[in-house]
Amino acid sequence: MASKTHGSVTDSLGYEAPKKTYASVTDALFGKESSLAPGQAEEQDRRLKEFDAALALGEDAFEVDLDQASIMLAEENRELRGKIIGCGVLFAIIFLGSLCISPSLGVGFINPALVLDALAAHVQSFFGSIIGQPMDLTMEQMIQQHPAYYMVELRFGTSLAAALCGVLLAVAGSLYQMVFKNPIAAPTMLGVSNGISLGILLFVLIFRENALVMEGQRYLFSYGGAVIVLLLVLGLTKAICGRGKAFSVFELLLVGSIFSQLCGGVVQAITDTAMTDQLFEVYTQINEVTGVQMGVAGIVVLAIIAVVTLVPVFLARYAINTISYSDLEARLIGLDTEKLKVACLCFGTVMVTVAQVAVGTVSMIALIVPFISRALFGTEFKHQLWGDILIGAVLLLLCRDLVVLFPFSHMELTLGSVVGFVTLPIYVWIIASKQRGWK
Amino acid sequence: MAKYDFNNPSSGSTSRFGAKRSAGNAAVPGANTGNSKLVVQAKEDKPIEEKDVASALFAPPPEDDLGPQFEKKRRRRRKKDEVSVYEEQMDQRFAFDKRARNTIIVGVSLVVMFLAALLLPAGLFGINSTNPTISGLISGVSTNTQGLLNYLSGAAPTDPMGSKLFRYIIIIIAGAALGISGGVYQGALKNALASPTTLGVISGGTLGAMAYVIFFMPQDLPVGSSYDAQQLLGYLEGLSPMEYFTAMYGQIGCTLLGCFVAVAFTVTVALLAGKGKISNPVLIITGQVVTMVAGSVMTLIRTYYASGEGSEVTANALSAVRSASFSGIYTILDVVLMGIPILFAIGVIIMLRMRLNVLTFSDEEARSMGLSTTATRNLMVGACTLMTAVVVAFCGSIGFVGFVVPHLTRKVIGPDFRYYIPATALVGALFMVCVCFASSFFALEALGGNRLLTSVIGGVAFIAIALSGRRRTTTDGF
Repeated sequence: MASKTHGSVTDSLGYEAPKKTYASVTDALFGKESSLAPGQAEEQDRRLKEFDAALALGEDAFEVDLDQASIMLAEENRELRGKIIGCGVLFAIIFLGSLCISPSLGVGFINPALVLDALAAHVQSFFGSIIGQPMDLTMEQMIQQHPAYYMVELRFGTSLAAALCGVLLAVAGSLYQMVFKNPIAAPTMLGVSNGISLGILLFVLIFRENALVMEGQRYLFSYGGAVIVLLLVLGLTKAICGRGKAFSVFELLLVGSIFSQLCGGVVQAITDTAMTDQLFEVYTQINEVTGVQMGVAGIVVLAIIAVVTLVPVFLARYAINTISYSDLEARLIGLDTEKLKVACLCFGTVMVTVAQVAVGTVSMIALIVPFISRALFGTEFKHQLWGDILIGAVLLLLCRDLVVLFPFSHMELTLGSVVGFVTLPIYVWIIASKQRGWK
Repeated sequence: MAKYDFNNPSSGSTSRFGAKRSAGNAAVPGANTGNSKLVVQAKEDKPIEEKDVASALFAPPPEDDLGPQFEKKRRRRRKKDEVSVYEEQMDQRFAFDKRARNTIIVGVSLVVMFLAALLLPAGLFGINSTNPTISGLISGVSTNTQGLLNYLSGAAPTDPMGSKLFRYIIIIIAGAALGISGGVYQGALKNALASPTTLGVISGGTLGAMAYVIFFMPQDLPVGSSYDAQQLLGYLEGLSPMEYFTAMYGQIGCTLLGCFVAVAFTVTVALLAGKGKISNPVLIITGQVVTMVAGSVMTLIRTYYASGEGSEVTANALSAVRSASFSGIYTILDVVLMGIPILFAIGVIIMLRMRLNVLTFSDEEARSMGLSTTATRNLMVGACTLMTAVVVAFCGSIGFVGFVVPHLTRKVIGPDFRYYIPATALVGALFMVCVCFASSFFALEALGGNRLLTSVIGGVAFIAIALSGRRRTTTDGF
């Protein structure tokens, strides 16, 4: 069998089109995106011949011949594309469906025809001036002509924010799990989460009840708290690692988790003693982001940061893939994984900070979506990233809709608890269907 | 390769056994090759053979992983010549002394803190104390000593010092149990971020306690934020033994049940995933999921009572469930009920602590030595889960101790489980006694005393020890 396979390798290689064959090898090893400079191609032809000669000497170096490998790769790509399209369609359906939900608390829907009409009006009023068909109508006239105009505007903002946050949390969780190879390593572990709480606490203590309506200052305090705690954690870790020594990523995690517990203790002590019930209510509401509508500014900030962080990660997905190799292997390929790891952590932290300020503490998404995604899309980061993006968006959007649809004893439930209830059955189902997600 | 390990104990995975081997009493049979013979020889005739030993040790430089750091270290050593070998041996011999010394220091300070916590009067130097004087301190100590002696001699069986004594004994047991179980979880699950909360024990227990408060608790039981020990004593006086037992131990029973239900769920799902075998990552992820879902249920309950529905008493009792305050009345029955399972589990773990070292190898390596890692891991994790459940039932949800104490101990004692396990117990007990003592001495209960102090003392101690240990050359703590 071995010699037969071996023979087919040399036969199928031939020397007529070695360049193409080499390309298929690199495709099989590093994915589709390998373009070769002309000089490189010759060099690689030479190496291919050497490789071939080595194959002729050796016994069974290859099990699968190269044609088969390229066919397998094409099949895998087709399968991946199918899954991505499926998840994308699911996301589109859920997004449109979520626009049809009435923005007020409780079960209520808007007629989908009205929603489409209002969407068309929105598109026309936004882009009409560009194509020469402006709609010079006031808000009242708009609402008169398109009854769902305002409601769709509200819902669109909420749904977009929820979907973006889902993507950010899922990708951040995935990055952290990649770097630490540890399912407990949540992206909030560096103290960001408790930093935000601390900032909001200070904010509520300063501005009292007015805090609910001051959106700009809220962002200022939240991000300020997160950044200060993060800087403290980084500084302490640097001090602990010592000067001139390698920055230990694991030490960072340890210091971060212990320091964030410290902040959590302080937050609880202050909320227990220095706050009246009313203020505590305000604090909880802001911290958990319940019943708070996002303004346009908030959504724009969220969208900008999402683009700034997601695009580099998406472009670098093949490089990030190498983190899962051992350090030695990565070094052999010529990549410095340590720097890559730190970059991943930075991006993950920014993502999770923005998402938490927008939707509150939803740590479950960061844990469970990478797991689901691995079960569906495989363990390679370049594939898994697609799953993280789509499934994260779908899941958080769904949960946000459930929060609006089903109030609990006249109050809006926190998003985090709804996510908990929704993901438990999904998790058990995936586990029970024997698709092991974590290697 | 083996020689290289001896030279540079900081390198690679064999590092934690480097020190052991050199002393010639390795825990791992079979892993002990010619290396230790060399060392033994070197010990026996130090002055003559040193040079030979040095040349033998340094002869084959490792080709594969010559980092710049190693290069530097080696050059430094060559300058010092053969003296360095002797020094290194002394260092390694001293390492054992240091471990023993640190353990003894922790043990002595535990005893001192225990006595201080028992005898010093509570709340004298607190935020609200009216007259903090030295004479008040002295008279308080003498009163407490008198009361304790009276209680112990049987002269005054209702003295409050009795309850205090049992409370601190329970605190010591709880601290030791949490410390050990955190350390063992981290070792057995091969995950440095694991803690007693990982498998969902603590969340399940809290949920069980909440269920008791909502469904079974008698409405006139004086529990809650306005908790007063005398009130509870008055309530308990007129009860039949059966009612007394239910009132005292109903919540504890429900908490235990909650713990075991949560763990059973985690283990079932993990079994389902692994087709009958439990793999560490699945166990951990499932535990995390269970923890978070239990948190969601707690949020649901909190939202329900925050919206003004449900009775005031239940809401107060619920808020008391979530904090571990140690403010109850403890009797000798509590100590016995809590102590027996925990001491049993601690005994098992301490007897089998050698095997935990083997768990840090990969499964195949361990199997090649003839040891089954799965059985050891299951036994260890089971024992720790039992301990944690009992602690949660008697003391409330305190999880952070089980995370910070193992890491603290690792910084002080090193990762060798033979020394590590007893040391974690001592450090955990010391930590809890310090926290509770500070909480009562400075009257910080109103600030959410234990939770605040646990995180503050734990965080500060960890950072201080990590900072003081940064000049050490190795990651092992030596």
